[in-house]
Amino acid sequence: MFTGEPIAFEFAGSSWLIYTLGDRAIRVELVNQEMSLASCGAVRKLSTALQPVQTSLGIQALVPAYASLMLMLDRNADLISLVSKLSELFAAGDSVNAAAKSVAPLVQLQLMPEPGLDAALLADAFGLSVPQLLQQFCAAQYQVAQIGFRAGFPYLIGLPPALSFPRSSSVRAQVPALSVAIGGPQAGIYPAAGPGGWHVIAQIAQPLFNPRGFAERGGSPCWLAPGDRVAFLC
Amino acid sequence: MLSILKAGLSSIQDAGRVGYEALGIGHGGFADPDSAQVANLLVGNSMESPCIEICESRFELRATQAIQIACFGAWVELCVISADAQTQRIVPAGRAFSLSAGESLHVQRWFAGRTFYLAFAARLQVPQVLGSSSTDLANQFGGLDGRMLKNGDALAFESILPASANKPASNALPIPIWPSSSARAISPLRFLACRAELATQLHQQSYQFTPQCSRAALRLQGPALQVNAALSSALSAGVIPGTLQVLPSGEPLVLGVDAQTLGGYPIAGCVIQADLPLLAQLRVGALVRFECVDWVEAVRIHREYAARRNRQLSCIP
Repeated sequence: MFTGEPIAFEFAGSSWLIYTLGDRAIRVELVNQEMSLASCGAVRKLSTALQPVQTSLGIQALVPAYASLMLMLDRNADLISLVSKLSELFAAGDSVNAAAKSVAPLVQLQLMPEPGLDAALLADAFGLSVPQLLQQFCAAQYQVAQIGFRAGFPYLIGLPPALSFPRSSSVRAQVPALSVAIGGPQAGIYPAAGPGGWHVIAQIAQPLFNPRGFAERGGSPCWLAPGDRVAFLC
Repeated sequence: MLSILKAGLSSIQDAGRVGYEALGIGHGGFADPDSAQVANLLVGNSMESPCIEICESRFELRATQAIQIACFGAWVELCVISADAQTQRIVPAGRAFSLSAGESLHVQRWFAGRTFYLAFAARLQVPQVLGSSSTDLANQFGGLDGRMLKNGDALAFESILPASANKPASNALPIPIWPSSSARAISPLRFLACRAELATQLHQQSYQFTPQCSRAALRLQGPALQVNAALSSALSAGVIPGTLQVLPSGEPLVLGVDAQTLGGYPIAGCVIQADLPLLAQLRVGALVRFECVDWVEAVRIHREYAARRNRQLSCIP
């Protein structure tokens, strides 16, 4: 009988734990909770492996995060049989693994010429000029580890450690829409204007969220998807 | 058309959006789907049709054309005032009633419960965005311009059912008995554990609903939980309505129907589906006692709940 002790398994060379979120969702977490390209890749593999069997298992949606994947279940999905099927599926390991090799799409985003609200502050803190800061930022390759906080807000990993900067102790009431910002070791982009505590270094022109859908993205309301690789151009 | 005279805390909601969580768009929709479905069936709509959801507040609307309405959810006093303001009548919840052109409907008093629904024997003219007419307040789309209703709003109908097409009003359905916050009743809220060390601390503890309650989250006051360093440093990850997060103060925060899709606070557990409608009906000051159930119990409760729902809904002609 399950009382909160998670179920452990190995998949894609990593150790994972299965937790339940009520009777509507399951969260599969990497034991090693770190923000890294490796974690992001492992979550992507797990998600890709589940996609072909998603409907037959009664899974409505897969929600990736830095080091976990949430499985949203159909209203009447049977939690107990689903967890045992998942354990079997993951135990089958390698065959599933082989099917889970796909290359993440690369999305290029052009930075606007004017630096962002906090670019000078951060450049000063790092002992760089503003153009140097933006060049170093653009030289790195990023990946969308998760989307959340607001519709279409990408949490990006890949920020050079030298550009890591703690989030502000206060929240700015109106971060401008499409601000590229740094929050600790992460980068992100605010799709719409609103409150936020990350430091803004630049803006992009490409809208990230459109509830009517982007034709170029197969009708998806978001320009970016979890797993996408992102390159900034300046 | 409907003219909103006093909007209070109201918004357009339906059964919600399915499958966009990975993009940061939550499911949303009816906070108490059980009540909304009944309201819709009482006027002959499909259960998922958009309704006006009203959270405890003063609300008034005027009909500019005759329309059948049903109200269900919280226990409120509903009053219809004639166009010339000379006569008024109390209308019952739990059965459809007619509003003539020029008449206005007033929500006068709240006796128990926090959320109720107005359904109309017509389709509210609100666009479907990403498969739903629900208002996504955080992302400002859906419903009426992605916001709460406000005084002076006009809502148009399409395809009004002619009055003769409506089923004759049957005996009124009984309004659910929601715990009243003044009676000091303690409502059990059942949850499945996520982090065992937090779930065991929460089990059998009582908490009080604070005024900081919205569609997104409900803050509770009561015994603080002890969170160890390993749990509090975990990375953000997927969350759903009903998730019991533990704030840095040690107090729990229950995520509501408009929950964000990712959360960073440690999680004790998550309220089971059958008890989520209750979350939308408990008022400020209400007391709840958390009860941790296991999977077998959760599955049994869900089957009973689904069967009970089917029986209730089949009573509506």
